[in-house]
Amino acid sequence: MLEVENLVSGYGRTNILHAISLSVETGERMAILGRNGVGKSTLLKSLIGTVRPKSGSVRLDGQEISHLAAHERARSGIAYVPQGRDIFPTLSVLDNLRVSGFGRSVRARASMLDDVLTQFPILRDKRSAQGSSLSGGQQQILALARALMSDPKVLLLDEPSEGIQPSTVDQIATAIREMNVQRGMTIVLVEQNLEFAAAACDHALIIDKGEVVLKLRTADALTNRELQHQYLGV
Amino acid sequence: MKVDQFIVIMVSLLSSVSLLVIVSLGLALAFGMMGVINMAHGEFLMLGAYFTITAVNAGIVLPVAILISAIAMGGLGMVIERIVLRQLYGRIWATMLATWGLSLLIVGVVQLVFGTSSNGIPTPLSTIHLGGYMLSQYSLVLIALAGVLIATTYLVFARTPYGTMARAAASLPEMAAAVGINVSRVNMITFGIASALAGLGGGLLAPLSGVSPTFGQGYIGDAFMTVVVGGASPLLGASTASLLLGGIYAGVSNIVSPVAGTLALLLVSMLVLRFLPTGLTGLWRKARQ
Repeated sequence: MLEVENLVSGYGRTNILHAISLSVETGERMAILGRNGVGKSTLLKSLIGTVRPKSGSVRLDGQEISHLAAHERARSGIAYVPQGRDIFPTLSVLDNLRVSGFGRSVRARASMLDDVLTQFPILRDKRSAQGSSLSGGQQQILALARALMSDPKVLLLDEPSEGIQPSTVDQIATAIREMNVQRGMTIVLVEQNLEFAAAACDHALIIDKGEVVLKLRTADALTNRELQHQYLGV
Repeated sequence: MKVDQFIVIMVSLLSSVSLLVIVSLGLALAFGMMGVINMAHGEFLMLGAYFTITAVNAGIVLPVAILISAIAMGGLGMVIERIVLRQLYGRIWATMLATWGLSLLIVGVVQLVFGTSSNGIPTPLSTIHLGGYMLSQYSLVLIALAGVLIATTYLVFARTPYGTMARAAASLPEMAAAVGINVSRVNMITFGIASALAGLGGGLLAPLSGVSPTFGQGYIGDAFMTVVVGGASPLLGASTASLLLGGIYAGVSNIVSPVAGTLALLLVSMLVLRFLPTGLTGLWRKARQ
Protein backbone atom coordinates (compact mmCIF):
# COMPACT_ATOMS: atom_id res chain seq x y z
CA MET A 1 0.00 0.00 0.00
CA LEU A 2 1.25 3.45 -0.91
CA GLU A 3 0.34 6.16 1.58
CA VAL A 4 1.03 9.85 1.22
CA GLU A 5 0.35 12.10 4.18
CA ASN A 6 0.51 15.91 4.32
CA LEU A 7 3.15 15.96 1.59
CA VAL A 8 4.51 19.43 0.80
CA SER A 9 6.66 19.64 -2.29
CA GLY A 10 7.73 22.00 -5.06
CA TYR A 11 10.68 23.71 -6.67
CA GLY A 12 12.85 26.30 -4.93
CA ARG A 13 10.66 28.42 -2.70
CA THR A 14 7.48 27.65 -4.64
CA ASN A 15 5.27 24.94 -3.21
CA ILE A 16 3.19 23.06 -5.76
CA LEU A 17 1.73 20.43 -3.45
CA HIS A 18 0.17 21.77 -0.24
CA ALA A 19 -0.12 19.02 2.34
CA ILE A 20 -1.56 16.47 -0.07
CA SER A 21 -2.74 13.16 1.36
CA LEU A 22 -3.82 10.05 -0.52
CA SER A 23 -3.51 6.31 -0.41
CA VAL A 24 -3.47 3.62 -3.06
CA GLU A 25 -4.16 0.03 -2.05
CA THR A 26 -1.77 -2.75 -3.10
CA GLY A 27 -2.85 -4.05 -6.49
CA GLU A 28 -5.09 -1.08 -7.22
CA ARG A 29 -5.07 0.81 -10.53
CA MET A 30 -5.45 4.46 -9.66
CA ALA A 31 -5.58 7.37 -12.08
CA ILE A 32 -4.69 10.87 -10.92
CA LEU A 33 -6.64 13.47 -12.86
CA GLY A 34 -6.66 17.25 -12.86
CA ARG A 35 -6.00 20.33 -14.93
CA ASN A 36 -2.58 21.32 -16.22
CA GLY A 37 -0.37 22.68 -13.47
CA VAL A 38 -2.23 21.30 -10.43
CA GLY A 39 0.83 19.31 -9.41
CA LYS A 40 0.25 15.85 -10.84
CA SER A 41 3.77 15.48 -12.26
CA THR A 42 5.28 17.02 -9.13
CA LEU A 43 3.42 14.41 -7.09
CA LEU A 44 4.96 11.55 -9.09
CA LYS A 45 8.44 13.11 -8.93
CA SER A 46 8.07 13.50 -5.17
CA LEU A 47 7.09 9.83 -4.94
CA ILE A 48 10.07 8.54 -6.95
CA GLY A 49 12.33 11.11 -5.28
CA THR A 50 13.75 13.17 -8.14
CA VAL A 51 12.01 16.06 -6.35
CA ARG A 52 12.69 15.88 -2.61
CA PRO A 53 9.57 16.61 -0.52
CA LYS A 54 9.86 19.48 1.98
CA SER A 55 7.71 17.85 4.62
CA GLY A 56 5.16 15.12 5.08
CA SER A 57 5.39 11.39 4.72
CA VAL A 58 5.47 8.79 1.95
CA ARG A 59 5.09 5.17 3.05
CA LEU A 60 5.40 2.04 0.94
CA ASP A 61 3.93 -1.02 2.70
CA GLY A 62 4.31 0.80 6.00
CA GLN A 63 7.97 1.77 5.41
CA GLU A 64 8.77 5.49 5.46
CA ILE A 65 10.63 6.31 2.22
CA SER A 66 10.39 10.11 1.98
CA HIS A 67 13.96 10.53 3.29
CA LEU A 68 15.41 8.12 0.71
CA ALA A 69 17.23 9.22 -2.46
CA ALA A 70 15.62 8.38 -5.80
CA HIS A 71 17.86 5.37 -6.51
CA GLU A 72 17.08 3.91 -3.08
CA ARG A 73 13.34 4.36 -3.63
CA ALA A 74 13.67 2.67 -7.03
CA ARG A 75 15.44 -0.27 -5.39
CA SER A 76 12.77 -0.45 -2.69
CA GLY A 77 10.17 -1.20 -5.36
CA ILE A 78 8.98 1.94 -7.13
CA ALA A 79 9.32 2.33 -10.90
CA TYR A 80 8.69 5.49 -12.86
CA VAL A 81 7.72 6.18 -16.48
CA PRO A 82 8.20 9.93 -16.86
CA GLN A 83 6.46 12.37 -19.13
CA GLY A 84 8.42 12.46 -22.38
CA ARG A 85 9.63 8.91 -21.57
CA ASP A 86 13.30 9.77 -20.99
CA ILE A 87 14.70 6.82 -22.87
CA PHE A 88 18.51 6.85 -22.55
CA PRO A 89 19.26 8.08 -26.07
CA THR A 90 22.76 6.67 -26.54
CA LEU A 91 22.00 3.27 -25.03
CA SER A 92 20.70 0.37 -27.10
CA VAL A 93 17.21 -0.96 -26.44
CA LEU A 94 18.71 -3.91 -24.58
CA ASP A 95 20.89 -1.66 -22.42
CA ASN A 96 17.92 0.59 -21.68
CA LEU A 97 16.21 -2.51 -20.28
CA ARG A 98 19.23 -3.99 -18.50
CA VAL A 99 20.13 -0.73 -16.79
CA SER A 100 16.91 -0.85 -14.81
CA GLY A 101 17.52 -4.38 -13.53
CA PHE A 102 20.98 -4.03 -12.00
CA GLY A 103 19.51 -4.06 -8.50
CA ARG A 104 18.49 -7.68 -9.06
CA SER A 105 20.37 -10.96 -9.35
CA VAL A 106 21.84 -11.91 -12.72
CA ARG A 107 19.42 -14.81 -13.06
CA ALA A 108 16.32 -12.77 -12.16
CA ARG A 109 17.47 -10.10 -14.60
CA ALA A 110 17.93 -12.54 -17.47
CA SER A 111 14.58 -14.22 -16.96
CA MET A 112 12.79 -10.86 -16.67
CA LEU A 113 14.52 -9.65 -19.84
CA ASP A 114 13.24 -12.71 -21.66
CA ASP A 115 9.69 -12.16 -20.33
CA VAL A 116 9.72 -8.51 -21.34
CA LEU A 117 10.99 -9.22 -24.86
CA THR A 118 8.30 -11.87 -25.26
CA GLN A 119 5.59 -9.52 -24.04
CA PHE A 120 6.79 -6.71 -26.33
CA PRO A 121 8.07 -8.37 -29.55
CA ILE A 122 8.82 -4.98 -31.12
CA LEU A 123 11.60 -4.54 -28.55
CA ARG A 124 13.12 -7.88 -29.53
CA ASP A 125 13.15 -6.76 -33.18
CA LYS A 126 14.77 -3.46 -32.22
CA ARG A 127 17.00 -4.76 -29.45
CA SER A 128 20.26 -3.45 -30.91
CA ALA A 129 18.89 -0.08 -32.05
CA GLN A 130 19.81 3.09 -30.18
CA GLY A 131 17.09 4.39 -27.86
CA SER A 132 16.97 7.69 -29.73
CA SER A 133 16.18 5.98 -33.05
CA LEU A 134 12.83 4.57 -31.86
CA SER A 135 9.51 6.23 -32.68
CA GLY A 136 7.48 7.88 -29.90
CA GLY A 137 5.21 4.89 -29.48
CA GLN A 138 8.12 2.43 -29.47
CA GLN A 139 9.89 4.58 -26.88
CA GLN A 140 6.79 4.53 -24.71
CA ILE A 141 6.67 0.75 -24.87
CA LEU A 142 10.38 0.65 -24.05
CA ALA A 143 9.80 2.97 -21.08
CA LEU A 144 7.08 0.63 -19.78
CA ALA A 145 9.27 -2.42 -20.32
CA ARG A 146 12.20 -0.68 -18.62
CA ALA A 147 10.03 -0.02 -15.58
CA LEU A 148 8.98 -3.68 -15.58
CA MET A 149 12.64 -4.83 -15.48
CA SER A 150 13.02 -3.84 -11.83
CA ASP A 151 9.93 -5.92 -10.93
CA PRO A 152 8.43 -3.04 -8.95
CA LYS A 153 5.63 -3.11 -6.42
CA VAL A 154 4.38 0.28 -7.56
CA LEU A 155 4.47 1.67 -11.09
CA LEU A 156 4.18 5.45 -11.55
CA LEU A 157 3.21 6.63 -15.04
CA ASP A 158 3.15 10.24 -16.19
CA GLU A 159 0.92 10.77 -19.24
CA PRO A 160 1.98 7.69 -21.21
CA SER A 161 -0.62 8.43 -23.90
CA GLU A 162 0.77 11.86 -24.75
CA GLY A 163 1.81 12.23 -28.39
CA ILE A 164 1.28 8.55 -29.21
CA GLN A 165 -0.82 7.28 -32.12
CA PRO A 166 -4.18 5.66 -31.18
CA SER A 167 -3.31 2.02 -31.95
CA THR A 168 -0.26 2.20 -29.69
CA VAL A 169 -2.28 3.97 -26.99
CA ASP A 170 -4.61 0.94 -26.81
CA GLN A 171 -1.64 -1.38 -26.62
CA ILE A 172 -0.22 0.63 -23.72
CA ALA A 173 -3.51 0.63 -21.80
CA THR A 174 -3.68 -3.15 -22.23
CA ALA A 175 -0.07 -3.55 -21.10
CA ILE A 176 -0.73 -1.48 -17.96
CA ARG A 177 -3.75 -3.62 -17.06
CA GLU A 178 -1.76 -6.81 -17.70
CA MET A 179 1.11 -5.71 -15.47
CA ASN A 180 -1.40 -5.08 -12.73
CA VAL A 181 -3.35 -8.31 -13.14
CA GLN A 182 -0.48 -10.70 -13.89
CA ARG A 183 2.18 -9.28 -11.61
CA GLY A 184 0.06 -7.62 -8.95
CA MET A 185 1.69 -4.26 -9.54
CA THR A 186 0.04 -1.21 -8.03
CA ILE A 187 -0.53 1.37 -10.74
CA VAL A 188 -0.53 5.15 -10.26
CA LEU A 189 -1.32 6.85 -13.55
CA VAL A 190 -1.27 10.60 -14.11
CA GLU A 191 -3.36 11.52 -17.18
CA GLN A 192 -4.98 14.35 -19.10
CA ASN A 193 -6.67 11.93 -21.47
CA LEU A 194 -9.76 10.77 -19.57
CA GLU A 195 -10.63 7.98 -22.00
CA PHE A 196 -7.17 6.50 -21.69
CA ALA A 197 -7.32 6.79 -17.89
CA ALA A 198 -10.66 4.95 -17.91
CA ALA A 199 -9.25 2.25 -20.19
CA ALA A 200 -6.29 1.65 -17.88
CA CYS A 201 -7.68 2.33 -14.40
CA ASP A 202 -10.87 1.64 -12.45
CA HIS A 203 -10.58 4.46 -9.93
CA ALA A 204 -9.38 8.04 -10.03
CA LEU A 205 -8.35 10.76 -7.65
CA ILE A 206 -9.01 14.29 -8.76
CA ILE A 207 -6.42 16.88 -7.76
CA ASP A 208 -7.09 20.58 -7.67
CA LYS A 209 -4.82 23.33 -6.28
CA GLY A 210 -2.34 20.82 -4.89
CA GLU A 211 -4.89 18.74 -2.96
CA VAL A 212 -7.07 15.69 -3.55
CA VAL A 213 -10.65 16.88 -3.90
CA LEU A 214 -12.50 13.75 -5.03
CA LYS A 215 -12.20 10.00 -5.42
CA LEU A 216 -14.45 8.27 -7.93
CA ARG A 217 -14.79 5.50 -10.49
CA THR A 218 -13.24 6.42 -13.84
CA ALA A 219 -16.43 5.17 -15.56
CA ASP A 220 -18.40 7.79 -13.65
CA ALA A 221 -15.92 10.52 -14.54
CA LEU A 222 -16.41 9.67 -18.23
CA THR A 223 -20.17 10.43 -18.10
CA ASN A 224 -20.10 13.39 -15.71
CA ARG A 225 -19.80 16.49 -17.94
CA GLU A 226 -20.10 18.91 -15.06
CA LEU A 227 -17.22 17.34 -13.18
CA GLN A 228 -15.09 17.27 -16.32
CA HIS A 229 -15.75 20.96 -16.81
CA GLN A 230 -15.07 21.91 -13.21
CA TYR A 231 -11.88 19.92 -12.52
CA LEU A 232 -10.42 18.74 -15.79
CA GLY A 233 -10.90 21.79 -17.99
CA VAL A 234 -12.58 19.70 -20.68
CA MET B 1 60.64 5.11 -50.74
CA LYS B 2 62.49 2.18 -49.25
CA VAL B 3 60.78 -0.29 -46.95
CA ASP B 4 62.85 0.62 -43.90
CA GLN B 5 62.15 4.32 -44.35
CA PHE B 6 58.44 3.61 -44.75
CA ILE B 7 58.34 1.54 -41.57
CA VAL B 8 60.19 4.23 -39.62
CA ILE B 9 57.76 6.90 -40.80
CA MET B 10 54.76 4.72 -39.93
CA VAL B 11 56.16 4.07 -36.47
CA SER B 12 56.76 7.75 -35.85
CA LEU B 13 53.24 8.50 -37.05
CA LEU B 14 51.71 5.88 -34.78
CA SER B 15 53.93 7.15 -31.94
CA SER B 16 52.42 10.63 -32.26
CA VAL B 17 48.93 9.14 -32.34
CA SER B 18 49.55 6.94 -29.31
CA LEU B 19 51.03 9.83 -27.32
CA LEU B 20 47.89 11.87 -27.94
CA VAL B 21 45.72 8.95 -26.85
CA ILE B 22 47.78 8.46 -23.70
CA VAL B 23 47.68 12.13 -22.65
CA SER B 24 44.07 12.82 -23.59
CA LEU B 25 42.01 9.72 -22.73
CA GLY B 26 41.44 10.63 -19.05
CA LEU B 27 40.55 14.20 -19.96
CA ALA B 28 38.14 13.01 -22.66
CA LEU B 29 36.47 10.59 -20.26
CA ALA B 30 35.86 13.20 -17.53
CA PHE B 31 34.53 15.64 -20.12
CA GLY B 32 32.40 13.21 -22.13
CA MET B 33 30.93 11.21 -19.25
CA MET B 34 30.60 13.92 -16.60
CA GLY B 35 30.83 17.29 -18.37
CA VAL B 36 33.89 18.09 -16.22
CA ILE B 37 36.64 20.11 -17.89
CA ASN B 38 39.54 19.13 -15.71
CA MET B 39 42.04 21.99 -15.82
CA ALA B 40 44.27 19.96 -13.48
CA HIS B 41 44.61 17.11 -16.00
CA GLY B 42 48.19 18.13 -16.83
CA GLU B 43 49.04 18.08 -13.13
CA PHE B 44 47.45 14.64 -12.81
CA LEU B 45 49.84 13.49 -15.57
CA MET B 46 52.71 15.17 -13.69
CA LEU B 47 51.78 13.48 -10.40
CA GLY B 48 51.59 10.13 -12.18
CA ALA B 49 55.09 10.75 -13.54
CA TYR B 50 56.43 11.69 -10.07
CA PHE B 51 54.82 8.64 -8.45
CA THR B 52 56.43 6.47 -11.12
CA ILE B 53 59.96 7.85 -10.81
CA THR B 54 59.71 7.78 -7.00
CA ALA B 55 58.68 4.13 -7.14
CA VAL B 56 61.42 3.27 -9.66
CA ASN B 57 64.03 5.03 -7.52
CA ALA B 58 62.79 2.96 -4.59
CA GLY B 59 63.71 -0.16 -6.56
CA ILE B 60 60.35 -1.13 -8.05
CA VAL B 61 60.38 -2.25 -11.70
CA LEU B 62 58.92 0.24 -14.16
CA PRO B 63 55.69 -1.58 -15.20
CA VAL B 64 54.71 -2.13 -11.57
CA ALA B 65 55.66 1.47 -10.72
CA ILE B 66 53.38 2.74 -13.51
CA LEU B 67 50.52 0.55 -12.27
CA ILE B 68 51.00 1.86 -8.73
CA SER B 69 50.85 5.43 -10.09
CA ALA B 70 47.61 4.68 -11.90
CA ILE B 71 46.03 3.16 -8.79
CA ALA B 72 47.25 6.02 -6.57
CA MET B 73 45.91 8.63 -8.98
CA GLY B 74 42.61 6.74 -9.23
CA GLY B 75 42.25 6.91 -5.45
CA LEU B 76 43.24 10.56 -5.35
CA GLY B 77 40.76 11.31 -8.15
CA MET B 78 37.92 9.72 -6.19
CA VAL B 79 38.81 11.80 -3.12
CA ILE B 80 38.91 14.97 -5.26
CA GLU B 81 35.52 14.08 -6.79
CA ARG B 82 34.04 13.67 -3.30
CA ILE B 83 35.55 16.84 -1.81
CA VAL B 84 35.56 19.29 -4.74
CA LEU B 85 33.69 18.24 -7.88
CA ARG B 86 30.45 16.80 -6.55
CA GLN B 87 29.47 20.20 -5.17
CA LEU B 88 29.84 21.74 -8.63
CA TYR B 89 28.14 19.45 -11.17
CA GLY B 90 26.34 21.30 -13.93
CA ARG B 91 28.34 24.49 -13.27
CA ILE B 92 31.03 24.21 -15.89
CA TRP B 93 32.81 27.49 -15.06
CA ALA B 94 32.90 26.71 -11.36
CA THR B 95 34.35 23.28 -12.18
CA MET B 96 37.02 24.82 -14.40
CA LEU B 97 37.98 27.38 -11.75
CA ALA B 98 38.08 24.78 -9.01
CA THR B 99 40.23 22.36 -11.00
CA TRP B 100 42.50 25.21 -12.09
CA GLY B 101 42.97 26.11 -8.43
CA LEU B 102 43.65 22.45 -7.77
CA SER B 103 46.34 22.43 -10.46
CA LEU B 104 48.13 25.36 -8.74
CA LEU B 105 47.88 23.55 -5.42
CA ILE B 106 49.35 20.34 -6.87
CA VAL B 107 52.25 22.22 -8.49
CA GLY B 108 52.94 24.00 -5.18
CA VAL B 109 52.92 20.79 -3.16
CA VAL B 110 55.14 18.97 -5.66
CA GLN B 111 57.63 21.87 -5.62
CA LEU B 112 57.75 21.64 -1.82
CA VAL B 113 58.26 17.90 -1.78
CA PHE B 114 60.45 17.29 -4.84
CA GLY B 115 61.93 20.74 -5.53
CA THR B 116 61.83 22.57 -8.84
CA SER B 117 64.64 20.71 -10.60
CA SER B 118 64.04 18.05 -13.19
CA ASN B 119 64.20 14.38 -12.24
CA GLY B 120 64.31 11.48 -14.60
CA ILE B 121 64.63 7.78 -15.18
CA PRO B 122 66.28 6.22 -18.21
CA THR B 123 64.14 5.10 -21.14
CA PRO B 124 63.69 1.35 -20.77
CA LEU B 125 64.36 -1.25 -23.46
CA SER B 126 66.85 -0.74 -26.24
CA THR B 127 66.67 0.23 -29.86
CA ILE B 128 66.17 -1.86 -32.95
CA HIS B 129 68.33 -1.32 -36.00
CA LEU B 130 66.32 -1.27 -39.18
CA GLY B 131 68.35 -0.65 -42.31
CA GLY B 132 69.97 2.71 -41.72
CA TYR B 133 67.50 3.69 -39.00
CA MET B 134 67.05 3.10 -35.28
CA LEU B 135 63.71 2.46 -33.63
CA SER B 136 63.09 2.73 -29.90
CA GLN B 137 61.41 -0.38 -28.57
CA TYR B 138 59.69 1.70 -25.90
CA SER B 139 57.81 3.69 -28.55
CA LEU B 140 56.55 0.39 -29.98
CA VAL B 141 55.37 -0.55 -26.49
CA LEU B 142 53.57 2.80 -26.18
CA ILE B 143 51.80 2.25 -29.51
CA ALA B 144 50.59 -1.16 -28.39
CA LEU B 145 49.54 0.16 -24.99
CA ALA B 146 47.56 3.03 -26.50
CA GLY B 147 45.56 0.43 -28.45
CA VAL B 148 45.11 -1.69 -25.34
CA LEU B 149 43.95 1.37 -23.35
CA ILE B 150 41.32 2.28 -25.93
CA ALA B 151 40.10 -1.30 -26.21
CA THR B 152 39.94 -1.79 -22.44
CA THR B 153 38.14 1.49 -21.85
CA TYR B 154 35.69 0.58 -24.61
CA LEU B 155 35.00 -2.82 -23.06
CA VAL B 156 34.53 -1.32 -19.59
CA PHE B 157 32.01 1.25 -20.82
CA ALA B 158 30.23 -0.88 -23.42
CA ARG B 159 30.13 -4.29 -21.78
CA THR B 160 30.07 -3.99 -17.99
CA PRO B 161 27.10 -3.10 -15.74
CA TYR B 162 29.12 -0.18 -14.37
CA GLY B 163 29.73 1.11 -17.91
CA THR B 164 26.04 0.91 -18.84
CA MET B 165 25.13 2.73 -15.65
CA ALA B 166 27.78 5.39 -16.28
CA ARG B 167 26.48 6.02 -19.81
CA ALA B 168 22.91 6.22 -18.54
CA ALA B 169 23.92 8.62 -15.76
CA ALA B 170 25.88 10.73 -18.26
CA SER B 171 22.90 11.27 -20.55
CA LEU B 172 19.92 11.56 -18.14
CA PRO B 173 21.04 11.69 -14.49
CA GLU B 174 17.53 12.06 -13.01
CA MET B 175 16.12 9.16 -15.00
CA ALA B 176 19.20 7.12 -14.13
CA ALA B 177 18.47 7.68 -10.43
CA ALA B 178 14.84 6.73 -11.04
CA VAL B 179 15.88 3.31 -12.41
CA GLY B 180 17.97 2.65 -9.31
CA ILE B 181 21.42 3.93 -10.27
CA ASN B 182 23.45 5.62 -7.54
CA VAL B 183 24.55 8.47 -9.80
CA SER B 184 26.80 10.05 -7.21
CA ARG B 185 28.77 6.81 -6.74
CA VAL B 186 28.95 6.20 -10.49
CA ASN B 187 30.41 9.71 -10.96
CA MET B 188 33.00 9.06 -8.27
CA ILE B 189 34.11 5.87 -10.00
CA THR B 190 34.16 7.51 -13.43
CA PHE B 191 36.36 10.36 -12.23
CA GLY B 192 38.53 7.77 -10.47
CA ILE B 193 39.01 5.92 -13.78
CA ALA B 194 39.72 9.19 -15.62
CA SER B 195 42.31 10.09 -12.99
CA ALA B 196 43.83 6.62 -13.08
CA LEU B 197 44.22 6.96 -16.86
CA ALA B 198 46.00 10.29 -16.30
CA GLY B 199 48.26 8.67 -13.71
CA LEU B 200 48.99 5.81 -16.09
CA GLY B 201 49.71 8.31 -18.88
CA GLY B 202 52.10 10.29 -16.69
CA GLY B 203 53.85 7.10 -15.69
CA LEU B 204 54.25 5.99 -19.31
CA LEU B 205 55.63 9.39 -20.32
CA ALA B 206 58.02 9.67 -17.36
CA PRO B 207 60.90 7.77 -19.04
CA LEU B 208 60.66 9.90 -22.19
CA SER B 209 61.62 13.25 -20.70
CA GLY B 210 62.71 14.95 -17.50
CA VAL B 211 60.00 15.21 -14.87
CA SER B 212 59.61 18.60 -13.21
CA PRO B 213 56.62 20.35 -11.57
CA THR B 214 55.80 21.93 -14.95
CA PHE B 215 55.80 18.52 -16.70
CA GLY B 216 52.04 18.62 -17.30
CA GLN B 217 52.16 21.87 -19.22
CA GLY B 218 54.10 20.21 -22.01
CA TYR B 219 51.19 17.87 -22.73
CA ILE B 220 48.07 19.69 -21.63
CA GLY B 221 47.73 21.76 -24.83
CA ASP B 222 47.79 18.63 -27.01
CA ALA B 223 45.39 16.87 -24.67
CA PHE B 224 42.84 19.68 -24.75
CA MET B 225 43.11 20.07 -28.50
CA THR B 226 42.49 16.34 -28.98
CA VAL B 227 39.41 16.42 -26.75
CA VAL B 228 37.96 19.53 -28.40
CA VAL B 229 38.52 18.21 -31.92
CA GLY B 230 37.19 14.80 -30.89
CA GLY B 231 33.92 16.08 -29.44
CA ALA B 232 31.61 14.78 -26.76
CA SER B 233 31.87 11.02 -27.28
CA PRO B 234 34.93 10.26 -25.16
CA LEU B 235 36.36 7.12 -26.73
CA LEU B 236 35.46 7.61 -30.35
CA GLY B 237 36.32 11.30 -30.15
CA ALA B 238 39.69 10.83 -28.48
CA SER B 239 40.73 8.01 -30.79
CA THR B 240 39.67 9.61 -34.08
CA ALA B 241 41.08 13.00 -33.08
CA SER B 242 44.34 11.35 -32.01
CA LEU B 243 44.52 9.60 -35.37
CA LEU B 244 43.85 12.78 -37.31
CA LEU B 245 46.00 15.18 -35.30
CA GLY B 246 48.79 12.70 -34.58
CA GLY B 247 48.85 11.65 -38.22
CA ILE B 248 49.06 15.22 -39.47
CA TYR B 249 51.68 16.22 -36.94
CA ALA B 250 53.92 13.25 -37.68
CA GLY B 251 53.40 13.47 -41.43
CA VAL B 252 54.26 17.16 -41.72
CA SER B 253 57.09 16.84 -39.17
CA ASN B 254 58.71 14.11 -41.22
CA ILE B 255 58.31 15.83 -44.55
CA VAL B 256 59.00 19.46 -43.51
CA SER B 257 59.94 20.06 -39.87
CA PRO B 258 58.53 19.63 -36.35
CA VAL B 259 57.61 23.34 -36.22
CA ALA B 260 55.62 22.97 -39.43
CA GLY B 261 54.03 19.85 -37.90
CA THR B 262 52.82 21.83 -34.89
CA LEU B 263 51.52 24.57 -37.19
CA ALA B 264 49.68 22.04 -39.35
CA LEU B 265 48.14 20.48 -36.24
CA LEU B 266 46.82 23.86 -35.09
CA LEU B 267 45.54 24.71 -38.55
CA VAL B 268 43.68 21.42 -38.91
CA SER B 269 42.17 21.82 -35.43
CA MET B 270 40.90 25.27 -36.35
CA LEU B 271 39.48 24.01 -39.64
CA VAL B 272 37.75 21.06 -37.98
CA LEU B 273 36.14 23.31 -35.37
CA ARG B 274 35.17 25.91 -37.95
CA PHE B 275 33.20 23.35 -39.95
CA LEU B 276 32.33 20.86 -37.18
CA PRO B 277 31.76 22.87 -34.01
CA THR B 278 30.77 19.70 -32.13
CA GLY B 279 33.98 17.95 -33.12
CA LEU B 280 34.56 14.79 -35.14
CA THR B 281 31.99 12.91 -33.07
CA GLY B 282 29.39 15.43 -34.22
CA LEU B 283 30.05 14.43 -37.82
CA TRP B 284 29.65 10.78 -36.96
CA ARG B 285 26.37 11.45 -35.14
CA LYS B 286 25.05 13.43 -38.10
CA ALA B 287 25.95 10.61 -40.47
CA ARG B 288 24.06 8.07 -38.36
CA GLN B 289 20.85 10.08 -38.34
